[in-house]
Amino acid sequence: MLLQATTTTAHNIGGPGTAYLPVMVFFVFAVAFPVMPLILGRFLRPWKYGKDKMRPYECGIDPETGAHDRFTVRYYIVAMLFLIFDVETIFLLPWAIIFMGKDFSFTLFALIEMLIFIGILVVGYYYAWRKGALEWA
Amino acid sequence: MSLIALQATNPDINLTLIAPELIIGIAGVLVMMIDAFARRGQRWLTGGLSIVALIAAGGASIWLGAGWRGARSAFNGMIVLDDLRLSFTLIFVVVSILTILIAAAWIDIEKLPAGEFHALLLFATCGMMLMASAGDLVIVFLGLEILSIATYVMAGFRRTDVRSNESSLKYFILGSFASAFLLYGIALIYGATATATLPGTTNIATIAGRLNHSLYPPLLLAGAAMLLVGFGFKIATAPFHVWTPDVYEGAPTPVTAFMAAGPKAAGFASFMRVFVFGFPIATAAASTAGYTHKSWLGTLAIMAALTMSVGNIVAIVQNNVKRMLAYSSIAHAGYALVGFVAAGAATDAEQRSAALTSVAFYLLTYAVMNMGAFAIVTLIARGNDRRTAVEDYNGIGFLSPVLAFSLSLFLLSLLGMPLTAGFMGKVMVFTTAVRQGYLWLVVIGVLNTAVSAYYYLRLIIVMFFRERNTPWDAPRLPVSVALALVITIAGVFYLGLFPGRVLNAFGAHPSISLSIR
Amino acid sequence: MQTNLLSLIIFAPLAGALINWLIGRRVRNERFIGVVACASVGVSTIVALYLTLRSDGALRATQPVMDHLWTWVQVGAFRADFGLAMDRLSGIYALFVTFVGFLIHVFATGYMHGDRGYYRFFAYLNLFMFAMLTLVLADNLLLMFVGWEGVGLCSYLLIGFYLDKEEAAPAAKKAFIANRVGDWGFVLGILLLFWLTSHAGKPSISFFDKTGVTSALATVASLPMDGFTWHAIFAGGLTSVAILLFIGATGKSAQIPLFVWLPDAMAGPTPVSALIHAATMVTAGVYMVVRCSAIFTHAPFAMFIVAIIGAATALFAATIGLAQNDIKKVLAYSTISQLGYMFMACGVGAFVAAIFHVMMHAFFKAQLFLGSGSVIHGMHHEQDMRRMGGLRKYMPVTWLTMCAGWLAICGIPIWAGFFSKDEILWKTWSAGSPGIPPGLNKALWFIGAVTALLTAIYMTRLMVMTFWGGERFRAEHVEHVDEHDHGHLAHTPHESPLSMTIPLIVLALLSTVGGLVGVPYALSSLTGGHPENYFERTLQPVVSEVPGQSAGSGEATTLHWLSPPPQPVDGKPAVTVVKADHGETIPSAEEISQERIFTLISVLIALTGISIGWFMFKNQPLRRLPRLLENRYYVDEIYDATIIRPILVISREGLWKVFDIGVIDGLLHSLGRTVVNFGQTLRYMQIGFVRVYAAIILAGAIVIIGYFAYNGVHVLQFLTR
Repeated sequence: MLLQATTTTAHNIGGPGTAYLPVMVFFVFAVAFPVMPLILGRFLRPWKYGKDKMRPYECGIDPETGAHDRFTVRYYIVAMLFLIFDVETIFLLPWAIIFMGKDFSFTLFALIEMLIFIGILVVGYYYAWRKGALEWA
Repeated sequence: MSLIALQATNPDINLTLIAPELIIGIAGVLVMMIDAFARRGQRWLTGGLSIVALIAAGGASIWLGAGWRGARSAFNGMIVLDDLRLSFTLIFVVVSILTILIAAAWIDIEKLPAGEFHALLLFATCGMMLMASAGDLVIVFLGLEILSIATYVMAGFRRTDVRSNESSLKYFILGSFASAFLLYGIALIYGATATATLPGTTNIATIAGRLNHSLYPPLLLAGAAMLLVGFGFKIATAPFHVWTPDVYEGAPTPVTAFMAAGPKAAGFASFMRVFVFGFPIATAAASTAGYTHKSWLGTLAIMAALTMSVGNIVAIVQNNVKRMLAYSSIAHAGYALVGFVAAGAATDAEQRSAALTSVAFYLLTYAVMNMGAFAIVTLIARGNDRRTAVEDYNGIGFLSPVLAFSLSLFLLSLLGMPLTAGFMGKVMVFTTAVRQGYLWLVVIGVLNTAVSAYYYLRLIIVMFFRERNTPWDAPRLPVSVALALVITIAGVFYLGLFPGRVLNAFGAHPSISLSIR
Repeated sequence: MQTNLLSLIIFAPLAGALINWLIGRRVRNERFIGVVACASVGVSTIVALYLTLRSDGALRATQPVMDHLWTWVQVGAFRADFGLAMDRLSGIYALFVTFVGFLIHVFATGYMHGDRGYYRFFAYLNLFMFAMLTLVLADNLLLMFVGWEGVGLCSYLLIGFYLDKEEAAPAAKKAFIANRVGDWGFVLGILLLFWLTSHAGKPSISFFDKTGVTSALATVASLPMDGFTWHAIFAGGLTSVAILLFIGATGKSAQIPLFVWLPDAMAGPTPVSALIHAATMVTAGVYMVVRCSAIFTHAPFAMFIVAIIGAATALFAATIGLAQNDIKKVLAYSTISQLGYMFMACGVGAFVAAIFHVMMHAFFKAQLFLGSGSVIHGMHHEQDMRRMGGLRKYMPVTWLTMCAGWLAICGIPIWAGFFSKDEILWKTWSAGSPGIPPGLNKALWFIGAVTALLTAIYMTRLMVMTFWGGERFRAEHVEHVDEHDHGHLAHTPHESPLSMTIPLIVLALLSTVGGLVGVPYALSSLTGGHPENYFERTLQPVVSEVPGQSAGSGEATTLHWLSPPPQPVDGKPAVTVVKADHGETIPSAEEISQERIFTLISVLIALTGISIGWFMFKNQPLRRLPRLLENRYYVDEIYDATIIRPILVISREGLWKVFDIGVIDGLLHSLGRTVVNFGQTLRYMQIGFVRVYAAIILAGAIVIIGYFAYNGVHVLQFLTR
C-alpha cells in the first residue's frame, strides 16, 4: 500500500525529482530514528561511566575477548529459534487480514497454505527439540 | 491495488510444473525426520532416500521435457518451464547424486551425522532448482537463500575443525554481504520499473517489456548493477571471487566439490535468465534498454577475461591441491562466462539458445570432471583433510594407479584435452562466442587454457615422476566412491566423444522470454 | 565382384594378434600361441587362394574383387574408402605374402621356442601380416599409406624385439628414422597426386573406379606425358609425384640413399628378417611403383632415376655383400641388391618382370633366410660365418634346401631366380622407353650382368664358408665360452626340428620350380609347342604400358600350357583356351634368337660366378677381402659425419643451446616468471581477512555501479512520464 501510494504520488505530481519525496521522507526518518535517541540520551541520562557501563550490551556475552576464545552458541540457537517463530507470527498477521476475503472463496486455499507452512515449521521445531537444541544445560 | 485486491487474483497453481522442487523439498523434510528418529547404523537410509528422491526429481524434469507443450509458466510467472531450467535441473541432480556418493566415504571417516548432511544437501538442491526455474526475482532470491544457508552450514560441517569453521563463517559473512546487494538490486528494480499506470514488477519477462517505459531508468541501471554484483559473487567472478579460495580450501572436500559445481551452476542459471531475458538486447541502442544491455554486456565481457586470467594465474602458484582446484573453478567460471556473453550478444533466438545451451553443457562437463577430481582428492586427503598439499601427491602414480590415472584423466579434461568432456565444453562455448564476434575473448580464453596446462600437468608430473620420500598407505576405494568414479569417467568420455545427444536434449527448444499476463 | 570375404584376409591376422596379445600373454602356452598365430595366417592364405583362383576370382576376371568396408573420408567430390580391392597384381602379392608368411610363421614356432617374449613376437608378427595385407589390398593410396606405416611400425617393433640385445634398439630406431624420411616423400606424393587430379576435375587417390569414385590412375593416364628434363622433377607435375613416391619406396625398399637401415635390421629375430626384411615388406616399394605404373610411365625422367638408382643399388650392395662375415648381413646386402634389380626393371618399364622377380625373390630369399636361421639355431645363435664351416654333415636338410635357394639366386636354369633375373636382364637390354636414353639400356644391362656375377660369387662364398671346409666352430667356440657365458661347450651343431625344416623344404621346392610360371616364350618354345608366359599374360592388363616399348608385351599364344603348376601358390589348373587379347604380339624370330643368346650369357655368368666363388673360398674360406668393402664403403660413417653429426651439432649447439634455451626458453621463462610473479602478487591479496575481502568486493561493486551509473546518465534523456 505504501508503494502504491508512492507510485500514485509520482503519477499525480509527475517528474522524477518530486517522485522521490516520500523516499526522502523515509530516509530522513530512517536516519533520525536511531540517531535521535542517542543524542537525546546523551543529554538525559546520568553520567556514570564504568567498565561494564561502557559495553555496547550489558547482557549476553563479552563483546571484547581474544579472537580465538571459545564461547557458547546457546545464545545464537535461542535467537534463531526466536527469529523463526517471530517470522511465522509476522507472516500470520497479513494472512489473517485477507483470510476471509470478500466472499470466502479464498478461505480454503489460504487455510491449507497456512497449515502447510505451519506444518513445515513444526517439523523444524520438532527436529530442533529432538536434537537437543532446547536443552539449556 | 490493495491486499484485498490481491486475494482476488488467481493463484495460478500448477503443482506439476514444480514437481522436481516439490520432490526434493519433501524428501529433504523426510530425511530430516528420519535422521531425528533413526538409530546409528541406519545411515544408508537417508543417503538411499536422497538418491532415490534425486533420481525421481531428474525423472520428473525429464518427464516435463518429454511432454513438451511449449515453454510455460505458472504461479503468475513465478515459475517457468523451458529448456534452460530443465537442463540445469538435470545438472543439479547429477551434481547432488555424485556428492552423496563421494561424501559417503568421507562421512564414515569423519564420523559425521549423515542425515543432517543429506537433508542439507537436498535443501540446497531444492534452492538450486528454484533458482533455475525462477521467473521472478523474488523466487531467485528465495532459491538463493535456501541454497546459501544450506551451503553455509555444509561448509562448516566439520564442527571441530577450525579451518572448516573459518570457511563457513567467511562464506556466511561475505555471502550475506552479496545477498544484500542482490536484494537491494531487486528492490531498486521493483521501484524503477513502475510505469505511469502500473506499480513496479519483479517478474523477469515483465521487466524486459518495461525497460523503455519505466519511470526511473537510472535507478533501473543501478539495480541491474547491484544484481550483477550479487550474482557475480555467487558464481565467483573476479573481483568478487576473493571468498572462493579460502572457503573452498577450508570446507570439507566433498562440500567443496559440491560448491564448485552445483551452486555455481545455479548462479549461472538465474544470472543468465535475469540478464539475458530481463535486460535483453534492444532493437534501438539509444534507449534505456539499449544502454542497460550495453552496460551489463560490456562489464560481463571484461569480468570474463579477468576471471579466467586471475583464476589461472593464481592457480599456478598454489601448493594446496584444493586451493588450486578452487582457483581452477574460478577460471572455469570465466570460460563459462564467455558463453554467457555470447548469449547476451546474440540477436536471434536460435543463436541465443545455442549459446545458453553451450553454457549449460559447459557447466555439466565441468561438474562431471570436477566432481571426479574432488572424489579422488577426498580419498587421498583422508580424515580431517590432512593430505591436500601438492607434496602429498608425490610419486603416487604407480602406487595407487587407479586413483592417479583417474585423477590425471580429470585433470586433462579440466585442461581441455581433445576426446574429453572439457574439450567439448570449451569448443562449444568458444564457438558461440566467435559466432557473436567475441574473438578477443576467445583468444584470451585459449591463452588461459595454455597457462592452465602448467598447473594441471604439474600435478600429473608430480604424481608420476616425482620421488616419494614419505610412506604411502593407499586409501581403500569404497564402493560409493568407485561408483562415482565410474560415472564421472564414463561421463568425461561420453560427453567428450558423443556430446550430440546431450546438446540436443539441452537445446531442443529455444529458450524464450515468457511474457506474463 | 563384391565380397566381404576379402576383409577376412586382413582381419584374420589382426584377430590373431589381438588374441595373442590379450590371451596369449596370460596363457603363456607356446602351443596355443603358435596355433593361433599360424591358424590366423592360414585362414588368410586359404581365403586368398579361394578368391584368386575361383572362376570369377582376381586372377581370372578382368575386374578386381572389391570389398567396401566403410567410407573413410568424404570431402566434397573427394572420397577415400576403407575399401579393399584384389586385382591380378594384388592377388599375386596377397598369395605369396600369405603363403610365405604362413611358412615363416610355422618356422618361427620352432625358432622362437623358449623365448620369453613368445606371445609378443607372434602378436607383432600377426600384426605385421595385417598391415602388410592392408598395404597390398588397399584400394586407394591413403589406406595403402596406413598399411605402409603399419608395416613400418611392426618392423620397428620386431627389429627391436630382443630387448636385451644392445644393437637392437639403435637398429630399430635407425630403421624407423630412415623410413620416416621415405614416408615424408610418400605423403607429399599422395598430396600432390590429389592436387593434380583435383585440377583435372576428378579429385581422387583411388586405384580403381568405383561408384562415386574415379580412379586416380585412370585420370593420370589421360594426362599428357611429362617431358624428359631435369626440371620436370620440380615442376609439380606427374614427374614430381613419381619422384616423391619413389622416395617413399627407397625408404621402405632400402635403396640408395636410404638403404642403411636394412643391414642393421638383422638384429631382429631371423624369421622376421625372412618375412619382413626379405620377402614382403621391403618389396612394398616395388609394389607401390608397379601399382602406380600409370604415373611412372607418364614421367619418363622419374623412370630414368628409378632405373639408375636401382642399378646403382644393385651393384653397390652386391660389392658390399662380398666382404661381409655375418651370414645374415650377407643376405641383407643381397636383398638390397636384388631390390635394386627390381627397381631397375621398373625403371626400364618391365613392371611385370619386376613383380615376377619380387615373387621369386620372396621364395628363395625367404628360403635362404630361414636356412640361415636354421644354421644360427643349430649353432646356438652364432652368426659369424668365420666360426662355421663343414655344417653339411650336421645339418643335411638345411644344407640341401639352402642349395636350392643358392642355385635359385645365382640364376642356374630351372631354378626360380634364373627365369626372373634373366627376364630383367633381357628386358633391360631391349628396353626402348623414353625414360632410357639410347645406350643407357646397354650400360644398365652391363651393371646387371656384373651384379649377377657378384651375386653368384658372394652366395657361393656364403655356402662354402658355412657348409663346406673345416669345422671352425669348435676351437672358436671354446675360446668364446667365457665371454658369452653360453655354456654350450658340450653342444655340437644340430639339425633343426620339423617345424623348421618343413617350411625350408617347401620353400626350397618353390625356389626350384616356382619360376616355371613365367617361362619366357624364347625358352619355352625350345621345348616344342608354343606355351605362353603365363605370369606375364596374367599381369599385363594391370600395369601400364611404356609407350614405344617394343619388347614389353607378352608372348601371345592360343595354345595350352601343358605342364600344370607345381604348387598352389601361383598355380591354377591347366589353362583352357585363352584368347590372344590385350594386343599381344609374337616376338619376331630375330628377337627370339637374341633373347636366347642373352639367356645363355647369363647362365654363363652365373656359372662363372659360382666357380670363382668356389675356387676362391673353398680352400681359403677366411680370405681377406678389401677393407673398403668389408666396411661397407664407410657409408654409415659418411652419413654419420655428413648428416647425423651436423644435425646433432646444429640441434645441440644451435637449436637447443641458442634457440631453445636462449630464445624460446628465455621468452617462455620470462613470460612464465611474469605470470608467476603476477600470481604471487594476486596471492598476497588473498591474505585471509574477511574485511579485506569485503573491501575488494565493495570496490568491485562500486566500479561496476559507477559504470552503470555513467551509462545511466545517457538514459536520463529517455525519461518518460
